[in-house]
Amino acid sequence: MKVLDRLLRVGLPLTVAAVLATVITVGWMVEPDRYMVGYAPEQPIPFSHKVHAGDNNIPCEYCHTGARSGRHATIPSVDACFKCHNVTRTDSEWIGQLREIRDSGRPLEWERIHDLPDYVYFDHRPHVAKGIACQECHGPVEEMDVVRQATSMRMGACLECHRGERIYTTMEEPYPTAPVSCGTCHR
Amino acid sequence: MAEHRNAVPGQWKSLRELKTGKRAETQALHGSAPLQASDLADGLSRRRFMTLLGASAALAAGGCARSVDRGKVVPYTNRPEEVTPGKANYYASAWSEGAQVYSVLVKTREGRPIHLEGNDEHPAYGGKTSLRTHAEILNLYDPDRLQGARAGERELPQEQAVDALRQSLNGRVLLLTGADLSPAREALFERLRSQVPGLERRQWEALDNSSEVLGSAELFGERHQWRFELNKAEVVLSLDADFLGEYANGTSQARQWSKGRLVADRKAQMSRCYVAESTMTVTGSKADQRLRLPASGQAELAYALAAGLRGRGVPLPAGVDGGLLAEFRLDAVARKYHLDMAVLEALLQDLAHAGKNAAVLAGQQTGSTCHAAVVLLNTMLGSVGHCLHLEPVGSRQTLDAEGRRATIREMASGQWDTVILFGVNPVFDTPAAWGFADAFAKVGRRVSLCLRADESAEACTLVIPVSHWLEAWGEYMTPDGMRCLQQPVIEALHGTLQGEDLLLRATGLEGNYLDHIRDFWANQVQPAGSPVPFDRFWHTVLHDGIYRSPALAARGNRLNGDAVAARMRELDKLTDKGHTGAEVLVLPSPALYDGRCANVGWLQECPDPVHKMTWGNALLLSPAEAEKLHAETGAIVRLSLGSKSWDLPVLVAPGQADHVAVVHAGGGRTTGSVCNGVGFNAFELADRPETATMELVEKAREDVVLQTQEHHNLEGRDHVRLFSIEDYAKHKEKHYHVDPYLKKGYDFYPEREFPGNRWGMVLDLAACTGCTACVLACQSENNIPVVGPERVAKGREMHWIRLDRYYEGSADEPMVLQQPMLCQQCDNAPCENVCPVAATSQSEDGLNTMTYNRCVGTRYCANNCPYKVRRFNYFTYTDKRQPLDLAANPEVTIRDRGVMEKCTFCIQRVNSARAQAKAEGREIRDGEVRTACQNACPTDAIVFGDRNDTSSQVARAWENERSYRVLEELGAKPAIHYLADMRNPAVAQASESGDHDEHH
Repeated sequence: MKVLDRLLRVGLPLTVAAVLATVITVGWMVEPDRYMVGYAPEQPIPFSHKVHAGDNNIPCEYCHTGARSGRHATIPSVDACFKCHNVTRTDSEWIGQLREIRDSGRPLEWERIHDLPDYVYFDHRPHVAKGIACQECHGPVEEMDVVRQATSMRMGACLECHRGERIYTTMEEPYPTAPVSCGTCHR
Repeated sequence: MAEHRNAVPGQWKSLRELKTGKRAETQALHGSAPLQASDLADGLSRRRFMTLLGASAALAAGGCARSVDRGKVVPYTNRPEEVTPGKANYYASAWSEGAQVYSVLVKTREGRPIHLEGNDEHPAYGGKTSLRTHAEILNLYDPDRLQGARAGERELPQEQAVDALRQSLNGRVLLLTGADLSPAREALFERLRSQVPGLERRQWEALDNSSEVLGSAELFGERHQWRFELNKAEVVLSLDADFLGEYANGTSQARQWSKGRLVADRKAQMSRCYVAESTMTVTGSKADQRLRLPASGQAELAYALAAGLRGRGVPLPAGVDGGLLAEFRLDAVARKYHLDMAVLEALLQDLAHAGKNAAVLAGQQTGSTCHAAVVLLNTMLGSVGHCLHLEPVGSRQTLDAEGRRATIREMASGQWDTVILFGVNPVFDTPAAWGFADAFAKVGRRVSLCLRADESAEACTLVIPVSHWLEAWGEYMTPDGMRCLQQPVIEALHGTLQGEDLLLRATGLEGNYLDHIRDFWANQVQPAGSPVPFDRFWHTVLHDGIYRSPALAARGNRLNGDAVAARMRELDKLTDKGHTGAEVLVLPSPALYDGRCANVGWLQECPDPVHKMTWGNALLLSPAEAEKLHAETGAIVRLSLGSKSWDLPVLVAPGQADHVAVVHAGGGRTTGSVCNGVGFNAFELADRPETATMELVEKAREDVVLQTQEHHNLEGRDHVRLFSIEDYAKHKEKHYHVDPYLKKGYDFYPEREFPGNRWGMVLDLAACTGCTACVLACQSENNIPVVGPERVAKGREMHWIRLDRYYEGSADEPMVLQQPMLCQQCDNAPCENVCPVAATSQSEDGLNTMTYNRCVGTRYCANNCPYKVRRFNYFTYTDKRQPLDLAANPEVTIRDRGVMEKCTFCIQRVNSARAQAKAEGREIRDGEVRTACQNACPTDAIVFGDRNDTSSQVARAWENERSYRVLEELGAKPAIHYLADMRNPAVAQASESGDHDEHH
């Protein structure tokens, strides 16, 4: 009986502790808020949003032209860079690379930062139209030299606003609620 | 099994149900969870269980693996001005199939076509298009498309292929194309002839209206065809002409016909439709009075009607021999073919009364003799030029049967050095009795310009792939003067050239086909002296897709009375023949036409509108004929014609005439990964002089004829309702059906509120013809996979919308009712409260939404759905072969194994319209959201919109007196109303059909 007694006294608490530790560790590791926020991969062209949107005050929609008219804000096409860079900083090494890409027509593969699952159909249109600032979800991009993911972009974050629970950083009063039925985003 | 309760006496879905009063036990009982869903339960061994357990664990482990790699995001390098990622662009284009030209709008996303709709500016289509047009998307992305040229076994690069083609263009060259309605193409072949003097072009069609053309040519000395304005007709008589389906242009005719069938209120007038036909078609299923009459008897009926009209004082056209006509007597025809004399009398009365507002149509299979009679009838009625028009055929000089046989004889006798098959497949679709393949083999140089390596290409010495029409330029003109431009909407997927460009290059002529079309349009189409610069003219037409130029003028020859007399005398001889055996009719298949598009899975799996058969064809026999053979649906019968015989599966077709064996074309292809070996080749049976004898060789099997009708059964409640217009006008109280329990507020759910939009749909059964275009449009819009014949046999087809076909009356002469059935988007949805994971739920705008990422596949919802409209992905059905992925709609999730799905009311369109409205700071306008099925419906039987907007079309239709909800007594409160079917019979039916809704 002694063996069993010892097992119960020492072994059981130890097992419970081990299981708990595993669950907590794994849970912590796969917690999207942890590993998704702060993701800031190196990009093929070191484009700085701080220089463009911050220092030079270029509005977001000057380049991300789709935000008001379509589902996607859209990544500007390479030729769009030359709306300015035909005359600005034409001697830069990176602009030279961009020009080469534009002229050759080969694709420029940016590292994707904000990635919603395939079953989420987010639409920029209504959000931009309501006057919700880009920064509410994308963070202070105008301060970032290298763009990083600022918010988790999980469903909870969507629902916080849609249910009217969130305090907006860039709006003076809480915004009215938005639809919360599944079909709003999932279809 | 519960005893079959039939709330509507006399309604049945299948012959088995009619005979036994029970449904098929195998599949229907299981609804969306068919028998085979539980096939593991029988005799599952321990070893099998362990295997499955291990496999599940491995799959679970594998399936849960999650990649943190977020991938790349690749913008355009040089963005085309009109393309915004995520936004669809529409381009007007056109294509032709046989003798029909379809003006279409191509929806493209990021440069790839994903959906086709009718061109809303084309007067004949008004935004609608045919069933097969929707499927052309899949045809474009067919993985079987030929990617490189070859000569025998040797593969050729494109330049060498053009060289080889150049060498073939030598001596006497026969170019076979399909029916051609393109004047510019005609001019192109004329230009080619300057380089290749021995070139001759002939138009080769397996199924065409040559008997109509020949019938008129004899009478007027000029080739004519009919064009219809059935919206003006008060009485329509169809003599074996499936004018709502495969005869002439079913889409545009259905649109016209439905205009006379709109019953907005009690005072509405309705046109009357008489159909005499050999087998049940969609047209026959919408008939007010239907007669069973073999194709060979149609001419007699037509002449007897003409004689009857004359007897009522309608004058004969000058030169027609009245004495000869008087030999045809209506009562004799009625006796010979067992037709109801009361109906024939009523028909005669209606025709005489309607005069120029009556239209008589005849199908191709009735022969040119009958067509001559139809010209005579319509001339007597005065409807030519009013309800229907005789117009010259223009550039469409299709070879008739004799012309095709002469061509085969010429090939056999070595008259042609080269034969080029350009988009035709005569080895497959020529009646086998004519010996095309043998004659073709005697030609020295055999070239095929084709999309796929088809049966004919296999017999060719040089095969060059060509572009699909969505990758190519073209233009068309129909004889009414409507011109359509066809423009490429995607670069050739496999680097192919279009056939016209291949020929231009091979002959060394200047420019490409686009230049040729532009030159042609600049010189021939744009009005001379127009102040508009050609470029602007061209771009306007390119944008609109259509241009109206003057119609081709008929010469206006007088009707030749002698020709009519000769035809009548010939018929006299036929009359004596009597019936021995059965006459074989080869008809176009409602889904596959003549089989040219048989490799498109959507079409193979598209249920036949009447018989609900998928994947293959069958020998259609009348119930009495089948009884004689002791054959049931699924039995194998040996059909003999002369010395040849075939073992064919039988489908017992209620409503078919006796002594007729009908086979649909399109089956029996021997090439193509989808269609190879599906069905049998009906052209084998075609054009043999003998009548058929038949004997049973094998008893009925379940897996031979795959019909979808008994799947997803609604347990025989009165879901489809019918009034005759007379009863409808007489009824005092509203027909709007509310169950007494619901009136008392007998509902334990709180009333839901829909503050914003509340989406609803109204389906008008009087307008619905069952044409099935909605099924194809839905499939294209919503990425619905093809599951294949084995799974259709198990009741696992995935279509979100189905057409339930009900028969009423006897098996011999039934009436057909069609009912589109799709998710009813119930307010109190029975599926929602049984879902353990809340994967399906109500939205605030009245949709019953399905959240795939929550679904764990319990299938409780499907079992609890009274409408049986939920579909389960037992496997990953999506065909992952390249480039099929390009055909998918990026706005709709591709569903994977283990997920339930169903109609969403095209939620992607609803959400997109809402987002756009919000962006513009306005409400969604009525008509802004149109579901794919609604867009496709040629008769506008489907109305969709916001019920909260009282001025919307749907809100008005909702209040229609004919409207009812299916299974309303269950209290599910569907968001779909049906408007009861409406008929306008001339002779009172034996069973009163007006009191259906009083059965509760």
